[in-house]
Amino acid sequence: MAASSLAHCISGIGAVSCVGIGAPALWEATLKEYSGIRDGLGTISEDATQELRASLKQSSTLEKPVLLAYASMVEAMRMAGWSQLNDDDGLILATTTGQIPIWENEAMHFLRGTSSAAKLTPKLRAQSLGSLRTELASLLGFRGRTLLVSSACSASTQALALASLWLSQRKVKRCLVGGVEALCNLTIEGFRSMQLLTTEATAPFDAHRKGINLSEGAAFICLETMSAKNSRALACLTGHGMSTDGYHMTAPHPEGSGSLLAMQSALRMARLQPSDISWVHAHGTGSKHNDQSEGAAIARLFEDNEPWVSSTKRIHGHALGASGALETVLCVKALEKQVVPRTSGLETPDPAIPLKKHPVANISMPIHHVLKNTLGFGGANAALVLSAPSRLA
Amino acid sequence: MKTAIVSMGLSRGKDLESIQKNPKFRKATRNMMLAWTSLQEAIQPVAEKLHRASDLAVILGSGFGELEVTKDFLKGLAENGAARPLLFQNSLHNSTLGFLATQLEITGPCITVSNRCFTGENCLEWAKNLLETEQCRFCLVTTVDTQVAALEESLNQIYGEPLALGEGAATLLLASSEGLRVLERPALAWLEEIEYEAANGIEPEKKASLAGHYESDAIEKWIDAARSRRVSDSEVETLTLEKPDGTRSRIFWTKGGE
Repeated sequence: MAASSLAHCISGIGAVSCVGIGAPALWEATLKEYSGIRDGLGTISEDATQELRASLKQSSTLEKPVLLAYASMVEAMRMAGWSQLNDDDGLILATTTGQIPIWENEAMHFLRGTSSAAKLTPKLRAQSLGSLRTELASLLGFRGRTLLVSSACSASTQALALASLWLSQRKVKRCLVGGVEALCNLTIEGFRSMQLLTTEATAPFDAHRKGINLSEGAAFICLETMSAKNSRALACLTGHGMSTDGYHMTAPHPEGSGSLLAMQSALRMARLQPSDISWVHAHGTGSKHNDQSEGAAIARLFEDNEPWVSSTKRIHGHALGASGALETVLCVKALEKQVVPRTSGLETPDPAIPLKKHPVANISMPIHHVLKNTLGFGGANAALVLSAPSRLA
Repeated sequence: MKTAIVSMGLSRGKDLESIQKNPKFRKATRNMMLAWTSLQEAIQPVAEKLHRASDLAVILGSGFGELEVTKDFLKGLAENGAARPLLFQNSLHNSTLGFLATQLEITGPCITVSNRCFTGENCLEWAKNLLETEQCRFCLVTTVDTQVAALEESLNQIYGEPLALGEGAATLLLASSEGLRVLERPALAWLEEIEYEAANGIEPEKKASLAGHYESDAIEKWIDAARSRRVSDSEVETLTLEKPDGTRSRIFWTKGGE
């Protein structure tokens, strides 16, 4: 079936992740199953950050979160042919911790009594998440509409949905949207304290999965209204859905009820049936509860029409607020290349998860519509439908 | 499509005495309690009709987020290497909304936003957008920020002068015209438009006259204005808010009714 004509065009993508700089590097690593995870974490190396600094003029003093975001913004805008953001464009950022790596170490020294408030002050300026938005807007010379979303691990998926709403309402002409996350003590030690991390490479949906690999990265997407003269469409955002579990502060609903609602809304907006979906790019973190809940939701949505379902978290890790944007970049590449990547690390599907179609190898096949799903702390769920430009009504 | 402001609620620190004794809030942060108190005041007149409504969205805004809890988490880590899971789950910007959504069993969209001194305006703008695009029929907008005593000296230096940052929470319940009919209530006001200027540069918060105020307090200021002004039938009322960096925002509304 053809998707809704209310679609928005993705004209550029950019990504920086623990497997390399650029969206092509992320896609290649995914297909070749080259994982960026070391000792359970997906860190962007000092060499890679130096390379980014060298490639971007005026970036020698940029801190990591700003550097990662800016680099992926520049990549996406170049691909889309956007020379700059105009005042009638929009900018939406997503993150959970913003620029915390800048200030948390100094804060720990201060709180331990080994540093002064005067030393902390310049670092603490970066605490307010809005400072990330201000700094990036300033780098881009942008004075138009901005928003910063911080809805846990669904943040950048929500950001894409909100960008689409802005375009639908003609509040903005084009929108640069994405997410960034840098590893920090707060999230690493916090997730570890909840016994959600593994030091091994994660194995989503596997019976023997042991936990999550946290990672850092950024991904940005150029989104604009579809038009007859627009020949730059890599893919189209045809539907989105947002929902909440209303169940628990950190655990997902065991039957995935909230996640199901988000996916149903996204399909409804795209005017598609479950049977139209070729692939579900799952959140698939490799945590016991996430995979169980998400698997239940996907199974309930598709019933006997289950498409291929896979997760790519073992490759690039879980970049929290940036994960939805990073994985949307992979969905765009999958639509472009017509390949469904397999779930790296999945050897023995968990019999308790009611999913039947895990690709055992990368599959070349016609892909018309992809469903991207995310879940987050606080029960924040979001889903997107991405479609091949040729499949619009 | 029109956006109705249906009800409102405010909370300051002094309102929290009774809630702190409630076992349901044993693990709640100060942000959560402040936000909950203001939200309860806003939904109290229509609570029955909103219970478990799948078309109820919530937008929560906070400038500093759960900084007090983040500080406690980092302090424990710095002093004895101990990371406490409860402090972690309560330490993220989205934690406040996660708590509210769990307590209210919300199943509609819940979005946390943060945009420095424009946080409140962003929340209002997005609530209006969600209603206009029929993503929901009702939308709660809650903004909250609290003081962080241990970091006060640094925060004062950031704002450029010694001052006592305030704290508080404010909630507005918004509804589409259709939602208003379901609630069987008149609008307190109609929200017409929200405008704000882009912030200047990367360090806008200097020489602020923010004493007693908080980053996300635009909603509270609108409530104060709406309570004190008498709006005629034909008039579009405007609240102009001067920001610490010299920029400003404007909230436009008209007289309520059916």
